[in-house]
Amino acid sequence: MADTIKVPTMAEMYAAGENPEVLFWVGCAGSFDDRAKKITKAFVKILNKANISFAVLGTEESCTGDPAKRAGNEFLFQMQAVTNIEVLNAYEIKKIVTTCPHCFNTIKNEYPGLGGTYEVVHHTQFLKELLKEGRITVEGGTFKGKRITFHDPCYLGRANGVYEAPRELIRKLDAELIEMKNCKQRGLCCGAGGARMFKEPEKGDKDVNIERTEQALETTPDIIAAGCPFCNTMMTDGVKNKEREDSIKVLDIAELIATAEDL
Amino acid sequence: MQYLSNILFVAILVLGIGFFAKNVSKLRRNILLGKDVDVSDDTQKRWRNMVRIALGQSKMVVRPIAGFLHVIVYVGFIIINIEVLEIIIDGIFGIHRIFAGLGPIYDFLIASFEILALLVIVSVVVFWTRRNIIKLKRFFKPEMSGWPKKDGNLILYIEFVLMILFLTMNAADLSLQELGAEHYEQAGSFPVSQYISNWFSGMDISSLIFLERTAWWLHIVGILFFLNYLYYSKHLHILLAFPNTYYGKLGPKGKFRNLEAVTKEVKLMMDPEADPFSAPAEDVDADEPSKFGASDVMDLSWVQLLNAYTCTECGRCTSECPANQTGKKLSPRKIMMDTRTAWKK
Repeated sequence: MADTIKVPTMAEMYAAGENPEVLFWVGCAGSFDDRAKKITKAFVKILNKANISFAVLGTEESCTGDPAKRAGNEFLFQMQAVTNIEVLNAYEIKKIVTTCPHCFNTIKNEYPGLGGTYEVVHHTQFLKELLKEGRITVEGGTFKGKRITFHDPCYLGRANGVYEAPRELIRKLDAELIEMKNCKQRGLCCGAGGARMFKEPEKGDKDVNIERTEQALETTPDIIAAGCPFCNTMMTDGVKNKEREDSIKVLDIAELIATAEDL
Repeated sequence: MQYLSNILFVAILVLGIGFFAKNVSKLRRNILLGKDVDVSDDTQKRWRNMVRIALGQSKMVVRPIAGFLHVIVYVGFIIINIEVLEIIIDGIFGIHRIFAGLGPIYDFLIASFEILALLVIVSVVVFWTRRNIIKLKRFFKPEMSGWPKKDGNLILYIEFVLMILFLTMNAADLSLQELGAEHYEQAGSFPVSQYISNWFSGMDISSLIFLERTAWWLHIVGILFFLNYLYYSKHLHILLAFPNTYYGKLGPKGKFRNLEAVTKEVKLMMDPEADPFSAPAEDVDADEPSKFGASDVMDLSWVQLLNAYTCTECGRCTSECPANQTGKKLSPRKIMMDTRTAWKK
């Protein structure tokens, strides 16, 4: 039996006169990319388990405009942003959680100037809060003693100074958190930021994701943890390039928690 | 005739400082030619950043070796300036070691200047070795050939010579004090130059005075030369680092500004009331239509130009840059250097 996952849309909730505690902003990768959809599912399972009242925009969600802006198309960005803000404001959204640091950065930092002010949190921050409030519990079991290294997504870490939330969650898993040569403030790019996700890299000696994967492999990890669907793709590709995909997994923090909870 | 040296000193001083002041006002004018930008918010946080980053060197210690040596040279530069103050007062009034009356405090000051001078010499030698013998990668990127490379070494040579002159001056002074020469009363404590003064033991008073005076004059003229050299060099960072950190970005690093001109267009497009056939009102005095974004140096703001003038070409940005690390042509340092070069034209 295929297990069903309950994902209410904002339209349904609003029609029923309900107001969710938080809006889950899924983002393009989480909606359409087969790998990233698993992260979305894992996160939704955690939300359901914790009985969080949440909703998604569903078909009313559009791109935040981050790739357009970073690639230099300010006009396209603002068109997309203003459209999203109209929808969000119409539903009187107060708090947004997202599994994508790019969406997180854009909505948190660039939407207020265009009339969209919300409390925006990354899913690792949100999970950390739930843990603190005792609304979810995490037990080590599955990952006990596993070597996990965390790759800082730049739009979460260096761009917004969030380094501890994901690490705290990993520590809760009783796993051994090992840092790469470049981490936190001196973390290295995965190669996908600034709309680079959607194009081939420029000519050089090496691709950025290979460089970063090599740094990750130096720590001899069992798992490379990520907090961003784009980083996840880049690191997964890097691990495949090194032909290590059988022994090393690239997983999102939400997937780690969901697996630990056996969801 | 006895005031000749005083007059000469004042003339050199006025010339040196005057020429520098003229260049600074030129620099100020150049920078303010940039597009206007509002940076008047949160002055408290701006002051804090300046104190922490420029004065407190917080960014320098991220790389411990270069950071440690830089802090030495920086502290040396600031502390030894007290000595320059004494030299200037002495020079104007034709006296010798005006602060000597401070007694033990003076001994302590001179001793610390000497130790710092020695440490600066050591640091400068290590810096030079890193640039020319070890050949650290970040000093050998394509943009670092020609003048930028020469500039970097010249600064080290000047600092080295200035410190040697300072110690020679003190060593000769100490010898004269020991010989009981006129005007050279016992003052100061010389933990470093006492070893140099040993070499002068066979010299008579007049040649010692000649040596002391030569070192004294060359030291102060050298400092004035160095001051004026700043304007033509990357070494301008010792002054501009302060405004640079004050006007630096305060918000999250990931935050980009939204272009207001674009917002206006977007709002107009979204507005169902907007008249699609409306034409802009005829206005003879209307400004030139503004450009979106920046395609040339002329489109940059004055803060961005200030940043370019502050760049000291250390290359830490480029050596952290993921694109540059993996062999792509992008170099953030080159952008800053080219901006400065283009703006000077």
